[in-house]
Order: sequence, then structure tokens, then C-alpha cells
Amino acid sequence: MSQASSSLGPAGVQRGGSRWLAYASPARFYPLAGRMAPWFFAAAALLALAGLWVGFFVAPTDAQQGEVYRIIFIHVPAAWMSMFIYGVMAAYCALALVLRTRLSSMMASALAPTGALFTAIALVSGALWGQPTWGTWWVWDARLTSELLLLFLYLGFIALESAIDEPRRAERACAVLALVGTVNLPVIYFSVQWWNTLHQGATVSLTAAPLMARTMLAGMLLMTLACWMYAIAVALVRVRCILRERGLAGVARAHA
Amino acid sequence: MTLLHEIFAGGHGSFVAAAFASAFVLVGAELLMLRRRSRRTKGLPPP
Repeated sequence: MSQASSSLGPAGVQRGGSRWLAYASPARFYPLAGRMAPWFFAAAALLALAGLWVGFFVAPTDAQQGEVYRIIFIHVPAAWMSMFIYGVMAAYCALALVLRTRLSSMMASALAPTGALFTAIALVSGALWGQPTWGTWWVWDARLTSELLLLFLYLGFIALESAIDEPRRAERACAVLALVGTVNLPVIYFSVQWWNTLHQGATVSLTAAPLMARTMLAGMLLMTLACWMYAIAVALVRVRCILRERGLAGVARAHA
Repeated sequence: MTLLHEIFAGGHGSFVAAAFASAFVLVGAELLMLRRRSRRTKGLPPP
């Protein structure tokens, strides 16, 4: 039987699956992450430059808000990434609980500070947008409050992890916290529909045409991709640090 | 140019400048902390 036809069978599928699962091994993932991180950093820098150029020099001035609307090019990508990273983090935590893969927990730990960073950027840039447009830095409306809660969830995750000395126990506790916190994600997303909020509704949706100029949308999407590449690059570098730290912990226990 | 004029004239453009500046400061702080952690763990054996 030829090699091509055998790869279509169940054995081939299993072999393909195990090939991917091999990268769940820290020893194989570590060098791969080291090779990939610089490419993701480079992609992030290039996409950010393109996004900033489109956002500041190509996109037109908004008819209603004037120049201040350009905060959208950092606020919206940061807000999207804050929710997306939390979702990915929770998925890694679920994998860690179900499959007991240690790398999944480490990826969740590596993503948490970056998720908190994007949440903080979304909140700060939102406040700086709120003052000139709403006349206030902050209101306790559903969207803003649930986003603030997301920041506390990220900070809680980081604090809980550093508060428990034994890594396995810390991973389990953090995984439970992250999974419980996913309840907040639909609350953030649908808050502008469920409640009467000062925050505007969604301008970009997967099911409807965008309510903004194409160049504005292009700048926003480029910045979102830049943030995405940055998050991957930083997570890869951080997970390598975690792997080295855990490696030392293993050596220390062996010598004790 | 309108945005730059707004920033230096103390208009709403300064809010845009502040938003981007704060984002870059936060990202810079994260990269700095990551670099320190990376250097601290560099001598440790890989898995």
C-alpha cells in the first residue's frame, strides 16, 4: 500500500494527531517557542506601524467626534484582545484540568499578564475617550464595570498563582478561577444590548456591515492583528521563562 | 496635521496623544519586566 493511501486511514489520523500532541511536551515546545517568538515580534511591529499609519494619516476625521475618535485604533483592539486572551486562557485551563497537560497551565500563566495589560489599556484609553465625548472619565455602566471586573479576574489569577507555593495546586486553583470567570465574557460583550449603557453599541459585527469608513476599519483591524502577534510573542517568551523556572524547581527538589 | 495642531493647541487631540502614550508606556513596562525575567532565568537549565 502506498504511503499516501495509508495516511488516510485511522492509523494515519492517529499518527497526525500524536505529531501535534508531541508539541505539548515542554522539551519539544521550548526550542520551537524560542524560534517563533522573534517572528511574532517582527510581525507585531510591522502591523503596528501599518495600523498607526492608516489610523493617523489615511483614515479621515470623524464628522461627529473630530480627531478624538482616533483613540479607537488602540481602545477597540485592546478591548477585543482583553476578552479574547481571557477566552484562550480559560481554554488552556480547561485542557489542563481535563488532559492534565502542564504546558497548558503554563500557557495560561504566560497569557494572564498580557491579558491584564490589554484590559488596563482598554480602560485607560476608554477613560481618555470618555472625558471629551461623554464629559466624564468614568461611569458605573454595565460595559465599563464588567471590563473592570475582567481586570480584577486577571489580577486575581496572577495573585492566586503567586500565593500558592506548590505549582500543581496553584495550577488547579487558577484553572477553576479562570473557568468561573468566563461567565463575565458574554456579560461584557452583550452588556450594551442587555442594559441601557452610556457606552455605545457595537460598530463592528460578524453578522452585519460595519458602521464606519473602510479605512477606519482597516486601521483598526491592522492594530488588532498587531496586538494579537504581540500577545503570542510575549506569551512564548514568558512560557520559556516559566519552563526554565520550573526546571530549576525540579532540580532543587531532586537535590533536597 | 489637524491632529498635531489639536494636540499642540490643547484640543481633544491631546486625549488621543495621552491614550497612545499610556498604551506604549504600559507595553514598554511589560517588555522591560519580561526582559528582566528572561535575563534572570537565562542561566537556568532548559527542560
